Amino acid sequence: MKDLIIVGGGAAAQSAAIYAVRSGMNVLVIADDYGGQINNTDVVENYLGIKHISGPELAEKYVEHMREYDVEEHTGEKVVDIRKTEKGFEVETEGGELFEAYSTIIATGGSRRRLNVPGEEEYRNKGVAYCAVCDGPLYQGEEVVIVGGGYAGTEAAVYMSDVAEKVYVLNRSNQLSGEKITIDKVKQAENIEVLHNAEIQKILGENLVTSIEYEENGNKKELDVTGVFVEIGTVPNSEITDLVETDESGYIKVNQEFEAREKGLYAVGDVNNIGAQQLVISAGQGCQAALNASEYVKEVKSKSE
Amino acid sequence: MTDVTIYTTPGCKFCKKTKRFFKSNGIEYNEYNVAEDKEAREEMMEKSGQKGVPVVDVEGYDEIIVGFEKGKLEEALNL
Repeated sequence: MKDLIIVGGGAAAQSAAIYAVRSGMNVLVIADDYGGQINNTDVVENYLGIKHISGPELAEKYVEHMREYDVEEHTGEKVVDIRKTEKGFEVETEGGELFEAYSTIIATGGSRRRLNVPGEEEYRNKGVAYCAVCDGPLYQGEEVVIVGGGYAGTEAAVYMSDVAEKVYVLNRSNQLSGEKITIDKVKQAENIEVLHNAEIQKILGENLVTSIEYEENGNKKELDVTGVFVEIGTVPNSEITDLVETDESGYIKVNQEFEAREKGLYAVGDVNNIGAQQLVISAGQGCQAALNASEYVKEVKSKSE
Repeated sequence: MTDVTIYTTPGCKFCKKTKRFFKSNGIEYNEYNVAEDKEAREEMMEKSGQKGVPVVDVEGYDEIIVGFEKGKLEEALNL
């Protein structure tokens, strides 16, 4: 039996793992894959102490850093359930393996939100993409649209403006959100055009995407593009246990200790309902939950002795 | 040895994952960075009919593999 199981492989999980081991716990990390959403991020420029680094590179550094410590790892499989046991929690993986620990931290993050418009599935990888830094280079010299005008959308627009001939940003509201520094870059780029109050309706093509249909202020319009980059935020990966309560958007509700409904069960990072969805916040929450879990596990163990 | 070609971009984690899979199984491969290499980019799109990476072409296997598809890679490479 472990002291702590951490479910997830992004910043929140790895930060929690480091703090947990350092506080004396024996720790198992269960992750489908490492890195989480920064793998889809071009550059990170707002993490303290690191002025500029590519997302995937930083993700590798996290794993390297975690492996400096004696953390047991179980990767390549998703967790499908977390249940209560007499002493703590039982975690079940896709393959049916069971692991038990006194305490568990859920750090499963978020997944890309999909558009749910006609053509999205049909043209996936054939013009529809969810990762500008991965697939963006395949659109060199082309005209593309970024759907979404928030943090991720504006960042993707700036990245694509160096790659594509022309970049449209389809923004649902009347102004861009996200970081001002990135919004300024969007405004300064000569080949980016922002379409406000605009919602995508349909993706059209033959073998590959050729255009989209959208509504701008209620009027139907068409845009000739060969790439559609979907950057409309995330949905929390919170469907892994019935032991938690979620809010109306699916985020796991936690208290100030980052505890979900059960004592000893924590949720941190983009999967919970508090804090901005930023790397430094996820890392911070992972740290705090690990320290809280450490206190909790000490208490539980001392009682059972 | 079977000729294995992988088309990648520098920012793509599934490309890295696929290469790690090759390395851990002792598979040698040719890599083309399609962010830089226009000819390879066109070749990749022609072979796969799509624009997502990674794309893997295993000589003698009748399917072009798009994405990190462990099962298909194992089948293609007789692992």
